Amino acid sequence: MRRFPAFARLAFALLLIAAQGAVVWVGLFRPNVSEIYRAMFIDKTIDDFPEPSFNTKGR
Amino acid sequence: MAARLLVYAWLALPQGGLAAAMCQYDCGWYARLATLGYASDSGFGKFGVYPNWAFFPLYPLLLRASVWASTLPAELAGIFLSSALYVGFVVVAAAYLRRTRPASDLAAWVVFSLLFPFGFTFSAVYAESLFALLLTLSVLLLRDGRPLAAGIATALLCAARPTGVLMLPLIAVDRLRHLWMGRARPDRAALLAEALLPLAIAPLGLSISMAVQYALVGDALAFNRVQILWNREWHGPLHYLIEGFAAWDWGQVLKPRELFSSSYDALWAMIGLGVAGVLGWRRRWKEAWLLGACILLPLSSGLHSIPRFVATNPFFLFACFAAASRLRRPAAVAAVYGGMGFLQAAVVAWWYQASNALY
Repeated sequence: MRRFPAFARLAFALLLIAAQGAVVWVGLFRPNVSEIYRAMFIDKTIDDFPEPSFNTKGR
Repeated sequence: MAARLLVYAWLALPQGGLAAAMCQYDCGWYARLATLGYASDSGFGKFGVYPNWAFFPLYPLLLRASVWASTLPAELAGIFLSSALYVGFVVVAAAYLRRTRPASDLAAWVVFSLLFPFGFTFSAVYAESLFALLLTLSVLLLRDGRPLAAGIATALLCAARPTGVLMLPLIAVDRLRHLWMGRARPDRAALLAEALLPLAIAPLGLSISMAVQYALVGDALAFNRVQILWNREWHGPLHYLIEGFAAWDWGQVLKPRELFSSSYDALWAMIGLGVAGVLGWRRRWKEAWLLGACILLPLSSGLHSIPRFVATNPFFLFACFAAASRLRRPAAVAAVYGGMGFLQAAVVAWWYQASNALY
């Protein structure tokens, strides 16, 4: 990485941090999911979950 | 390692062979992910029926490559993949032990790592060996003053399991120290880049996984939210420890699948946290953090899999190895190592019955 100028490395680092911050922000505040998904996993208004398919015990 | 796999295969003969006997619990998820991909089962509304987002992509990707290269079924290719990754871990761990515990007998470490009773999990189709390898490598690179390489290793670690993010505080502290030490340097931009770039790269594995999950499911936190299907809900570690011991269900330890012993799982958590405390007492702060936090984080949402998380944590293994290394009398060494080998064979046979031995 040292072959790149210091400002380019710094800009790249800041860009990565901003992009990852955006992913986390979208994850926390902007889920774009179906109603059934929202009910089961976000609002948790459905509690009769089906059994996971491949393991037979909790994880 | 080859001899160990042969013993596993011999023990598996009554259960229909090594691949069938070894493939318990999460192995099915990994094998299916490797062959069919995430869209095969994930969803609730958008795709199929069962969400598989709890499983991080790096191990399934490596397994897919192994299946392609070997043309073996995923259940068998995964055993060879995990075992190869475990060999990598043992080598990297030897380098780490040489730096942190110079008096260690590395030949004894190799024997210890092969005989450790719960070490069979490192050969199962699970991400444990990959996680142990990358976690140890990340810490080793950071210790050797190679923060950028440590950041890249941590990025891969975060793509193997979300607890990989627990490396971030260590990198952050290291980089802050670097900033402080270089405060008099005139090249501020270079100094800041040296501090920020490893930190920016380290969580990339997790961030890319989250971005992909958002693109496919619409939820970047799907990996966390679907944990509720495994009865994982955030109530804090103390809640689950109390609940585990209050259950007092030791009789279920030896019973087959569908049952698990909360008390057994809680005991493993206590043992792991106790070892983390000892590491902290000996001022091995990084090791104490990476063992303690790797237990407390999953323990905050349930007891499931805690024995596996403890017993396969590299720093738990190093602490156990250090304790075994204190033995001086050859008879005691032979008794302990022989006992470990016998116990491993028993635990493997136990695992083949889908018991809760280490789940």
